[in-house]
Amino acid sequence: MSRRLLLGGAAALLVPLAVLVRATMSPDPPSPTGSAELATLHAEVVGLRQRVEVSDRSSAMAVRLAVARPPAADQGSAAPVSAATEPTRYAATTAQISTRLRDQFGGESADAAWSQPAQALLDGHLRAGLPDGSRVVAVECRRTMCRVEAEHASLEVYAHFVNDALLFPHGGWGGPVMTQLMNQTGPQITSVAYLLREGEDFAPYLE
Amino acid sequence: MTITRSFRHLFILAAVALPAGILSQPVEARSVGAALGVVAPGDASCLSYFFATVTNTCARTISIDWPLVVDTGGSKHVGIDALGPTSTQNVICRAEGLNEETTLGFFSNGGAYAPLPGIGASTNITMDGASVPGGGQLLVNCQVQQGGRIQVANWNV
Repeated sequence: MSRRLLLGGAAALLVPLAVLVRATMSPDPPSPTGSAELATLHAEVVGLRQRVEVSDRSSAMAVRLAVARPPAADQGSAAPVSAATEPTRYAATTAQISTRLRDQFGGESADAAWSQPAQALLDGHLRAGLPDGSRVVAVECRRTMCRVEAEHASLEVYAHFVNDALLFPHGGWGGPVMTQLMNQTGPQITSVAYLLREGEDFAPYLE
Repeated sequence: MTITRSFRHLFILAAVALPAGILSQPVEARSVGAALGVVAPGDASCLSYFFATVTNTCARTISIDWPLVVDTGGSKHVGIDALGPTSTQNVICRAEGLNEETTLGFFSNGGAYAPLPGIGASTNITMDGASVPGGGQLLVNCQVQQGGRIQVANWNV
């Protein structure tokens, strides 16, 4: 859209520019030499504008290609998708994000060299900070992420669980974390969290 | 009266490059004074104000939240200008991305708080990579010890 604005801005400047050039060049009626200069100037501006339009189409195509790339089903690294010229904007719905993460985790095999120490770290961390009213249902680490499913007696307890047991406010886990409330209406609140391996990114799941 | 070729090129450059420079800026930035932060009702009396900066005057650590306006979902970069006079009057902050319904929460670096880069002078706490889903919210939380001061939050929208 900014490219369209760019072209609009360029066009908007051309009119006053032409007026300015005309005023600068010829306070009197334009001489044949001045008219030729103006014609040349106009041709050059038109040529440059066409080159900007071509560049605009190329950049827009690059952005679309980058954004349209689906998340990998089971790759060692879910590398973030990068846009060509503008920061990537996220558009996935909550349901899409949830499904993509579930599918990614479900399709992964375990990388024991990472998953075993990661799970041991996470088990100990969860146990140390678990508030009264929270219960860890399952913890599992695979190749690029760990998944934590838990139940909580109330939203307040869930907030304590996130701050005291799930997250690492003083460091200790290098990757990003996502936590989701799955159910807020039953007798128990259910949450599912994904803790990504350091170097991984949620961007492919959010686009 | 004729114009020189270089003068003509200058006009052409202005007509094409100037709008490109102005309109193709990829990141729009915003900033807001710290006074718009929200604290628990019992902590409100702990804050002293100087213009839009806030200082914690209580002995206990105060938690302050800023909901920051964003135009789109994306990876957000947040900075907090703050002052920690000494190492025991510190300020640490964390950026969080939330979906519209506040059922999804995203945290970078395992949810670790970012520290002030320096003590004794005003400086900027930078937090990169806060993921905000489409239509979602950006929130910054800071923990402010006694004497710690927060001045302004700045971020990309």
